Amino acid sequence: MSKKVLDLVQTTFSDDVIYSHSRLGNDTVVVKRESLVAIMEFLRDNDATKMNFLRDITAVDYLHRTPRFEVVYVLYSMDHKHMLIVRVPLNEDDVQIPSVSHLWGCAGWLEREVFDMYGMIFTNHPDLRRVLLYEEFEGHPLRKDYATQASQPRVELLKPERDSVEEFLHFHKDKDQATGSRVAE
Amino acid sequence: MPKVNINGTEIEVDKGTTILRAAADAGFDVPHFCYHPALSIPANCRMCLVEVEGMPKLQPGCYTQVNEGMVVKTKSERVIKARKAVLEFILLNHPVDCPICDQAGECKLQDYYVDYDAQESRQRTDKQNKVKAYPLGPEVVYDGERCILCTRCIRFCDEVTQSSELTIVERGDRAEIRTFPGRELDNAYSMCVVDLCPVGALTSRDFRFKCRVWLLTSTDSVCTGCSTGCSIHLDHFRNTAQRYRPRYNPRVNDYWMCDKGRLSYKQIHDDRNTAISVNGADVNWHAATEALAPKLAKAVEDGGDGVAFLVSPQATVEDLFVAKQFASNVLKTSNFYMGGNAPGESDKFLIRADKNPNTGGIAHVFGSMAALSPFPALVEAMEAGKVKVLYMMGAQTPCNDEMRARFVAALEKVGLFVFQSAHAAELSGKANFVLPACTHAEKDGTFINFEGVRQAIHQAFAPHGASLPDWQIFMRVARAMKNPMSYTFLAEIQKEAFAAKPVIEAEPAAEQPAPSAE
Amino acid sequence: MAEDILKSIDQDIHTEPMILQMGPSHPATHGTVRFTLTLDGETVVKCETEVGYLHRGFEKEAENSTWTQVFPYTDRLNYVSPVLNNFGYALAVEKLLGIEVPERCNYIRTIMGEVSRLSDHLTCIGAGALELGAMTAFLYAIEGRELVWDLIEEVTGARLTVTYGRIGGVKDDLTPDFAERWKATRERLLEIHATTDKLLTRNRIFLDRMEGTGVITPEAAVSYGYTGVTLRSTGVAYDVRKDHPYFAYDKVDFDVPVGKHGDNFDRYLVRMEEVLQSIRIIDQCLAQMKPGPVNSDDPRVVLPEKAKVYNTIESMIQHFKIIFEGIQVPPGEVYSYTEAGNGELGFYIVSNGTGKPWKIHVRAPSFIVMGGIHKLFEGSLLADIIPTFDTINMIGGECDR
Repeated sequence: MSKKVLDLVQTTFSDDVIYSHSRLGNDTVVVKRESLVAIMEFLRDNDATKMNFLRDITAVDYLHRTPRFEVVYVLYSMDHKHMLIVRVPLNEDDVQIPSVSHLWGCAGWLEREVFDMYGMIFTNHPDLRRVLLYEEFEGHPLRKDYATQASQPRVELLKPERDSVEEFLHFHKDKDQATGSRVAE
Repeated sequence: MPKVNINGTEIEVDKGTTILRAAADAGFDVPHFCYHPALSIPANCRMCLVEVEGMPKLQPGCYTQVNEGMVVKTKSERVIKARKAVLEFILLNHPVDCPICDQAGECKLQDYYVDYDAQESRQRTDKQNKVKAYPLGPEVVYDGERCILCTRCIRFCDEVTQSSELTIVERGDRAEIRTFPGRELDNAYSMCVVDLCPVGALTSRDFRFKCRVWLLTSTDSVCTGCSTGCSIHLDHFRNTAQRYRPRYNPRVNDYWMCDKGRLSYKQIHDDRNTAISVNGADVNWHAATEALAPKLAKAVEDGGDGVAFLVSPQATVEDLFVAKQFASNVLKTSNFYMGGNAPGESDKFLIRADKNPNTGGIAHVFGSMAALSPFPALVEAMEAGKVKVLYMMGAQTPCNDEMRARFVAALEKVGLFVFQSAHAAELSGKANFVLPACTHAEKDGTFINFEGVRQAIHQAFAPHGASLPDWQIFMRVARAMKNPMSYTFLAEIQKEAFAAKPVIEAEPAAEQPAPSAE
Repeated sequence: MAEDILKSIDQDIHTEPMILQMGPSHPATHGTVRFTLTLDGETVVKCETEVGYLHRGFEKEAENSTWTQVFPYTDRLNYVSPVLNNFGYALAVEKLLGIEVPERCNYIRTIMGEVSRLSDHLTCIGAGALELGAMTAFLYAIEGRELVWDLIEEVTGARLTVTYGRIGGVKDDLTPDFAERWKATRERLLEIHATTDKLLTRNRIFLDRMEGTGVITPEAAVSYGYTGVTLRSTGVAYDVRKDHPYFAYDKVDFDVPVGKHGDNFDRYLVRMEEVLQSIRIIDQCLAQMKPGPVNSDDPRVVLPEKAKVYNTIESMIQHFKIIFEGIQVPPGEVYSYTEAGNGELGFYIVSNGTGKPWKIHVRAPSFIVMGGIHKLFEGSLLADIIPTFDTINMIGGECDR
């Protein structure tokens, strides 16, 4: 059934599909980065494909392979009940890839995770920030060259820490101890 | 050149190539126990049986040479069945020893069972009991039950060392490997049979029960036992070297190394200098170099003649290169003396009399050995009171015990003794400054062996204690003396050290050629 | 007249939006997540979600352990229904290995999976009621969960971190008296379900808080990648168990309840109905299943019996290899998906042919729901966040991985 989708993509975008396979029941097309948005838009809007549901975006780091990275999109159609995996190879020195956040609601969120973990730069992304890790985190931990035991530098506090003991003492010295309310100064 | 078809792949190979080799070239692994590329081929294990079209019986792939137009199948049903049968026979009397066997984890029998057999035991009788933990020699222990009688060890002793200590006694399922009466396996390369043994029958007395092999991390390095510089795998676990194994290098040591060199890994951790000390007080690097700098500066002011610099051929080329620069530019001296180990035994195979791995490196860095004065000259100069400052690299001295005693006694007359070494060797107590250096296991670098072959060593684990690579120590001292050197990375030193005079580029083959010899 | 005055006053009052930090540890949200809310009075104008407080590098850890060692980590994804995660992961690896599990194993996986789903749904319903102040309903639901966990404990040996799944099978067969114990539990569960239903479904206060709050349209839900109950409450009948059956779901008869409005109350109703459907599935499975092996017979994957390991070298080697080098999974990649408690749990797995995974990516339903949760919050009252956040049933362990 979804072999049809595979064929359709291949015939429509014959120049942009690098190769395709349907091993293990996962129909997969590997496409060029330049035509990603066009293909995704086609897949979403065409009546025969109607991939209205973006299941997942992730990336794989094939260290020591060229191209080193691959960004993986898992698409699904709620109407036709078929699935397609779109993969985009990326070179190590150029990890920019167009965002598809305007096509699916969850794409922007998922792309943030890929940026967080792999450092892919999604161009035209409205809000490309880290999602699971904190802003000051150095490096992208799911890259294979990020050591498992690597430690992160301590994040400097933006403001001096509030002295909670001092505050408590002040609170305690209040005359109105029964209610604990602070006396207006 | 005959053309053969292996599993449908056409490949052209040299005349006289065996099927096993040709299959490996074509990308097909043929399992084998008794075959070893460096030994003769007895074809006795029958593991490598392959189907050759037109031949009624299966042929041993390790022995049969290819002919023009031969069609070989290494994965046909007949072959698979034969392999299963061979493995079943081999495993018939094999003890349930994996949990207590040192080979477990790097055992051919385990690998092949999973890859080619994977069927349950059908044995209903008791297993044959044989001798266990039988010492064949000072370094090797034999386990008869695990032995699959591939005879690799026997052939090694016959063909490589030509000492012929081993043979098979008894017949059938009672057969065992033994030494000839009145002899023991005590040649200088006896532990190579442990590497050769595809199963856990021959184990090293030294490594027995010390560490499980899957915990080990292996780093490519070079043996420091003599000037041959055998390529080795340095296997280590938790910052401790556990063993050396020879690494295939056709330019240097082939598949072998001597027992003395193999056991020299112990020296890495023996008697180490781990703390920086100034006249016996533990300090940090900054304090030590700041204290050392004015004293050295004063000696330089007094004239470089009073400064003696003892160079160690145990250090890497990079260390020596920086050492030379440090001594000439910072200490302004040219009184270089030769350090290192005293010469020892040698043979015609791998063992060299020069017991230092980088004598070639000294010749490379200093131009020729004539630039260095011999060690006895240093002792005489010290005894005559001519040496005011002694900067010593490495703890070894190339002399006999008597000379060593004279040297130690003469240290009293030296005004300032800077001892930069990985090992203490009774000298740390006498030194004004002890600067702990790394051993070869803790740093990257290059050794040049007696034939001029250049080999890289790699850092296996973090430096012990406060120790640093020699070149970094020189950099620190030079910086404290306000005469800094401008290296940041080892690669920069290498570029300069090898720019002036290229050496024989004989980097060892990165990969062992297939079929694997283990 | 008075209304007009009030209106004009309202217009004149100068208001400016107020920023409120909700979380990361808010007493009425059961998950560590921070919302930065922009409020206009009590109405949420804008919501920014920040997750990751429970991030512990599941994927990095998984890349550094053998395929089998990943199971305990999957327990800690959705920790209310760990069995479902175990099986989801096992199914993915089995796809890559190309092995089938025996029929009985499929039934066991279905049964234990549904038992886990019960615990997930009961927790969500009970905790949701609690956060709205209905302590009684919570106690009933938690009693149900305790009974379910007793069952899980008997089969798996643990209550929470069960590690029950294995590649090519399960840890162990069901206990001999499982069917009987299930019968007793089932009775009590139905009672609890009826009581909870009585306590909540027509409860005025409950209705006021739940009905018409946290609404999302089917189109938005699909676009934002919602799955599970959250999606079905909008009327989209997408259930992996029905649409792409795995285990024994194609052999049993069950309905996929859907809602109409996509609000909190529909999510509550769908969960209540799914509890009944789960019970139905388990009943059918227990009636259908036949004795037989529970583990695949592939020697590359399944550990041999202990007696054989100790007595024959063949099984010893096999055991040794599987434990120390790991199961050798052929190179390739696969996306495999199952229906977990909160929605579609997907595993994108890449193998390079060794005993350790090259990559394991989890499509965690909670994480994706959190990406679109502002859709549910924006425009509603601040107080509505509490029931909405509850019926979404965000589980921190799964969201942050």
